[in-house]
Amino acid sequence: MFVQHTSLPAVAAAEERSALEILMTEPEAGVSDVPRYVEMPKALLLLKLKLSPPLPKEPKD
Amino acid sequence: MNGERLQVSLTDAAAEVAARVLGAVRGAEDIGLADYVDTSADLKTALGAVRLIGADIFAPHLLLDRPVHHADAAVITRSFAAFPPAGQAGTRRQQVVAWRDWATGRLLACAADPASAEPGLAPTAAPETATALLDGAKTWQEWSANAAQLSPLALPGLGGPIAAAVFEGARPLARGVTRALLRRDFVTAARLIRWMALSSSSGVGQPLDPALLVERVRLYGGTGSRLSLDLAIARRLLRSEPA
Amino acid sequence: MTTSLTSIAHNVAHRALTYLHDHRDADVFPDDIPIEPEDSDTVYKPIAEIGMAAALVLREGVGGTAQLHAARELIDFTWHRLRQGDLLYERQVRNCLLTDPIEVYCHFIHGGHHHERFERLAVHNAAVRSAPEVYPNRRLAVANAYRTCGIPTDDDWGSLLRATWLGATPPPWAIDWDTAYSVTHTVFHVTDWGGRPHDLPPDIADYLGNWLPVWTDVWSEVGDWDLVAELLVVDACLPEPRFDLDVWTRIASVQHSDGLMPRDGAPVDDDRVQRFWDHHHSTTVAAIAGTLAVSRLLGNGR
Repeated sequence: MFVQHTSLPAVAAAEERSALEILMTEPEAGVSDVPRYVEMPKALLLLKLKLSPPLPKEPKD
Repeated sequence: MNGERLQVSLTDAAAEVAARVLGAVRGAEDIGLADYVDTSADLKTALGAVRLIGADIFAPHLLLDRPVHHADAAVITRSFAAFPPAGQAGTRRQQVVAWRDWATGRLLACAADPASAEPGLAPTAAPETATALLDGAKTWQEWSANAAQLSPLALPGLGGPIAAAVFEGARPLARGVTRALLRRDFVTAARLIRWMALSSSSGVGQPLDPALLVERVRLYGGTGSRLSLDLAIARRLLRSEPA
Repeated sequence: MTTSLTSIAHNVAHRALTYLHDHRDADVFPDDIPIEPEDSDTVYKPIAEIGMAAALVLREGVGGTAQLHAARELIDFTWHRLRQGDLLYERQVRNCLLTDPIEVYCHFIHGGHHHERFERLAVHNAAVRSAPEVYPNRRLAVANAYRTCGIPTDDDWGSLLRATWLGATPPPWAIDWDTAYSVTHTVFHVTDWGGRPHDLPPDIADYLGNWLPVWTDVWSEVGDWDLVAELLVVDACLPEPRFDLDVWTRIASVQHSDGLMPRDGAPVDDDRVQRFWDHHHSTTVAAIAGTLAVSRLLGNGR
């Protein structure tokens, strides 16, 4: 059988209640990440860079 | 603790509560809410998180007909005692909070064994504000921002004037989802998609396909247990969509 | 509201046209325009676009005396820069499948400019029916150019439209920046720049009525004024334009005092010539958006 706390914690302070209220009314993301102009040649270059095999490590002395 | 740190603690705890509810929506036996709260190092923050997740805690009950355990219901009652609802809903923010509390209180009263709930702690009366948050005179941007904040009310069987107003707003809802997705604000998108799924499962025609939207957010980077919970609820709702 | 919007749109168009008019000099435009295809975007394209904006001002005829005078001088200036159409003729003769000569030429008709030898080439090309493979919205541009010139083709407008992104009415959230431009151009060509708003099928008009406000909203938020101006042109091309006062107020507020419309939110260069080359496109689009909005608000000829 589950044992339940019988004592209630102290009532949250105004600051804590305010923090909860803010989180209950969380607004949309502040910064938009809407699609913008992408310079395709640069994007392709980036792709090439990522697809290239890793450069061999220099041997240690 | 300052306000920002309080918010971080509450957010972390809410993610944990949401993860437990999510597990139950996905088929786990229990939420284990009372277990979580009673083993928590910071009882007050845990109860704050329960207040924050609020009506979502009833999702397994409403979607999968899982029982609401007495101990879990008692925890919700205790969360209202620790974080008492504001007396009046004057500002827009207070109105949103009041409606979320209304939903939690109503579901608690309906689903829980009245014996375990301590009477008088949870709000049972509807807030005065009726549908001011979602009236037709609002711009679609304001309308959908309010609908996103009210997304815990997007549950089957809850009903009420907020859901009725959302059902009337298929166009601002779809515009809000489109805006959120284009801004790559997946959290807001998931909240609105949940409303869209509820509308659709209630037979209200939608200008956009909610199933595609759920997949979009899932595949393109929506993360976090609260977002996943919104999507899981939407998916469950869509499965019960009328033919 | 209608009055204040008319006045805002009129001012945006007037200031933008004034800016373009003030920059038709040798400092900005070099003496000769390259006529080979590989150079087409440097001077040729802006000249063509400015000529088109002036042509639309003349076509709509809602600008007031000063504005019509500026448009007249601009179309004459740009036509002169195209060597009274010889440049278009030479481009076409050397490259028989190029479509830009007819696309540029068709607007100058509104300014009363003609080039007989070029028109004979165009009639012949239409009869040959050898259209190069281009983006579906570009294909509509060609169809509209022949239509504007009154040269008959066997273009099936319905299937040309349905081949575009917009014609398929995909989910509005599955769009990117480039495709947004494709959408705007599809609407420009099907409606002949707002001249035939009812040529948009009802389902496409409804689709745009639903989602254009969202696209305008999200790209305004990030200050992508070039695209926003294009979307405002689209609005003015719809059977029932929305005339969003908020967006018009926002775009009017970013226009510079000399009429330059910044392409985005980045700082604008101080150098007169550099400023022009950076922002001529958004300024040209602003002139068109304002002109078409005023014309539609006045219920002109539709």
